Amino acid sequence: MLRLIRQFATILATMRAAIAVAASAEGHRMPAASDLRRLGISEADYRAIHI
Amino acid sequence: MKRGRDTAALFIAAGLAVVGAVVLWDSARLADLGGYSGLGPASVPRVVGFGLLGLALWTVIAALRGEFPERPAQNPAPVLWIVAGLAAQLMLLHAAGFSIATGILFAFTARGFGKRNMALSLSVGIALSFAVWCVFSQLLMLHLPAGPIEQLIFRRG
Amino acid sequence: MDAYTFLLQGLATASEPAMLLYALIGVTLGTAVGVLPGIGPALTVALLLPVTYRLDPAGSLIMFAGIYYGGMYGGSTTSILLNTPGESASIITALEGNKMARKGRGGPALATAAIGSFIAGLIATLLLAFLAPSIVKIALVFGPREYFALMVLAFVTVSAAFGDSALRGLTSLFLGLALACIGIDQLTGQARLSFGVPDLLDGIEVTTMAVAMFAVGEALFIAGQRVRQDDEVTAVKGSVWMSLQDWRRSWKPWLRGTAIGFPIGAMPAGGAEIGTFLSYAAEKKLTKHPEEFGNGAIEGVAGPEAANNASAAGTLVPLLTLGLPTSATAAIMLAGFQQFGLQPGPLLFATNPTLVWGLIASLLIANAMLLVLNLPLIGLWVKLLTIPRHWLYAGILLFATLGTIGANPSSFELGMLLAFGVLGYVMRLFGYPIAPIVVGLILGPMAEQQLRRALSISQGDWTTLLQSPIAAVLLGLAALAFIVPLILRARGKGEVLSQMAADED
Repeated sequence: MLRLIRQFATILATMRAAIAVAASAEGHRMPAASDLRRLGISEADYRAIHI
Repeated sequence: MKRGRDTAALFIAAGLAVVGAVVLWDSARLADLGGYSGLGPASVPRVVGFGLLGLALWTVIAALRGEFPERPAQNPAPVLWIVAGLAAQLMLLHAAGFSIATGILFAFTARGFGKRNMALSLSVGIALSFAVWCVFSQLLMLHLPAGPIEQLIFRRG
Repeated sequence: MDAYTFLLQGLATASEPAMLLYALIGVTLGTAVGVLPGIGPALTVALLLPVTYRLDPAGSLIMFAGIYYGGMYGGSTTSILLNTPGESASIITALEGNKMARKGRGGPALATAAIGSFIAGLIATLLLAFLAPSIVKIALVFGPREYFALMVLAFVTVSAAFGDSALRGLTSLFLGLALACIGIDQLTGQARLSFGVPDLLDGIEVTTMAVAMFAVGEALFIAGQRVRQDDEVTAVKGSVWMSLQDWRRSWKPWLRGTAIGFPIGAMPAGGAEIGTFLSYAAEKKLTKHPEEFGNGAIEGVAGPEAANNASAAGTLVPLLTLGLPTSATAAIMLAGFQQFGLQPGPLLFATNPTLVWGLIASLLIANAMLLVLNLPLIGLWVKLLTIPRHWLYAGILLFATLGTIGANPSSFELGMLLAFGVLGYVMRLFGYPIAPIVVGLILGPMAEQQLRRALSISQGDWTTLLQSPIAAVLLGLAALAFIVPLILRARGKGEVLSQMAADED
């Protein structure tokens, strides 16, 4: 049960990070490092993309 | 990334408060014919107006706490070039016709994006706008204002 | 009749030569705007609205849908070859895709993106076709209060729930709602917020607002930016075809991307890009080659590319069945329906099944066209990017003002375009999302009308909104969608704080 809740929390947190990164991308801003990390995106690689 | 007080955001809050106040002021002079529903034409604007006032307050708090994201550095000159281009187009549209007015917008925008050769971009812009005018006003029947150039080629009103 | 029969009939409609031509124009334009930075599908459809005013409604809508699908394809090409996503939904493709291209594996990267997009588009469009009739059946019992509740849910999710800040999302939404009040009140005929200006009596034109926000605001913002890089095309070296190994590593991410993207698109979450980030995170977690991630892992291209196309189809589910737009592009497409006097929703399935099913079926055709159009023509699309930025943006503004002048050739309308353009610029500068203001302007009057209808039926009794179980559930969801993200955001801040504390140790 506890594991289920924890998994659910992880999914929600990943979702939140994806939404935050999407919002930053839309506004041409650099997303927060913690959000990128949660999604497994390397910050340096993201910075290299010409947005 | 907490920073200090955000003055620009305080201006936004003031702007929101003004818009909210205008909406409320306008709704006050409407005759509220609620009818059966109890909701008249002024009801929704009232909710929106108070909502904007509330958001203005929230913005003040966020601004004082420095919660707005950092703003990207901006060069004012290119922005002003494009705004000037749009303003010139809207003022010249009926006097000079679509092609010249839009050609000027085209050249000003190109200037804003760093193209300095205005003579070139102006002629490209006017030629392109004229081609667009021909296609859209003659083939697709849109009403695009005609000026000296358009009247020279198509001798009609 | 079931969905299958309807779909076959729709295919017959969509295979008419004229419809095929509209679809072809749509996907070609869509791919082009997907490739070009600065123009997205939302803007393109907004620009085309005044131009298509006199054309065939079914054909125009098929063209708009083709643009939406095409935009999702086009963005991947430039992401992979140039590290320059033409669309925010293709950002994640650049991460692994460009790495692959640099290693001489650009061909397989492009192939897995195109084939994955095709498969996702196919599955998701079929899902749309088979889900739509059941949703329509539920929605047919909807009365004014259920519709009002649905719109409240849309307002909350578009503005507060899914942005990075509830304050800025709500501010954008309320500005849209305030603008929506301008003009003659639908029920009593009184002029609101028009200040005696006759031009304001008809209200704010949705297309003027959308074009100003997406074209003028964006152009001003890009022009003002200080950083500029030069793009360098990575030539496609080596085989264009995917090896057996590539296929083996791609098919699961395609299916997973579809499974993630479709529901995200259908939820009022706004934007196809959320699904792409989630798909990337999922692929990275599940891969058997973790060492390749960050160095050109094919899964990182296959999954997100499938997700963004599936999202596009998912967005059409609530738009077509309920008349509910969940993203900026969908909101503009709703304006496209309204321009022809059509209101998408359950009734449209009953009154105009030929059009609805023709549109759904045309998506299948557009999807196939895109696969053919994209793989062999990549060289052509890349050439598009050699257009210098100053000509590109000057051209964008030329067409942006053309649409506005064409709809209403007055200096006042152009003044509105300029004013909203500056507003859009300021909003971008301060990190306000654009979708809520557009959705507020479009849905605001509809929500007001439904609420007033619901309350006239109940004679002013507000509890009527909660007496219908469907409306009550929808309003409950709206409340949850408002509160839960606030808690999550607070938690997110907590994580950052604990992270900072850990860094200091």
